[in-house]
Amino acid sequence: MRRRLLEICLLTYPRELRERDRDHLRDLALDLAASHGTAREALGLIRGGLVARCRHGGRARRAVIAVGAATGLALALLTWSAAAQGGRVEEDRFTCAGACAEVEAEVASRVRDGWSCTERREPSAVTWRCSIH
Amino acid sequence: MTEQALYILASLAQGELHGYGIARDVEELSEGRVRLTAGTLYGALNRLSDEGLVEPAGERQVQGRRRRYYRLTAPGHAVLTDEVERLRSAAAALGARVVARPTPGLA
Repeated sequence: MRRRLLEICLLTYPRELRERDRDHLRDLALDLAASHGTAREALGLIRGGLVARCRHGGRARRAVIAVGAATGLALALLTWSAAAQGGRVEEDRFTCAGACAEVEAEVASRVRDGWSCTERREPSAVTWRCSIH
Repeated sequence: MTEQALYILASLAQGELHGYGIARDVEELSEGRVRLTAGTLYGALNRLSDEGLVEPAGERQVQGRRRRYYRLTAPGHAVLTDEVERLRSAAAALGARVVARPTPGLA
């Protein structure tokens, strides 16, 4: 998760620099994230990418870059927020008593879509806890 | 010159180092005040490299990862020496003012 987040942040770098130094930058950020925290390294990469683009681009291009960087920042923060919750992005619970066909179909549908569901059967009801990472 | 760049030059004054080594050394040298992120360090190294103050010194495999090493150039060493001397002079001048601070009411 941490690796993926940092790779997303690397998208803020100009393609030329990214293709040349991606592995070094990502590995360095991963090493430093262990002591500095992932969020700090992610923001450092976004800022570094923005500065690198400004050095390589003109004024009009900077405006486009600023919008792109803001989008990247929002994306990074959202991803980081998910990572901060232990990688859990979303969780749903389903319970039924008696006729459960409709709920079971919904759970099966979630599983097909990549959700992970655990079933708990009790005398009075059946409960599913589904989460997606 | 930024404080970060100065610390990076000082770190490389002791010999070749890779990015992670520089970041750790700078943190230790500055007693934790300067903590470089990968983005900041990479940008600073590129700028210093463009200015001819540092240069890449090849890549080596360290603990399963390829590390890119950097070294200080002769101009880089000269700039570091000048900057340290400037800071020494500034510190002496400012320190003299602090020591010679007049007692309130006697000035």
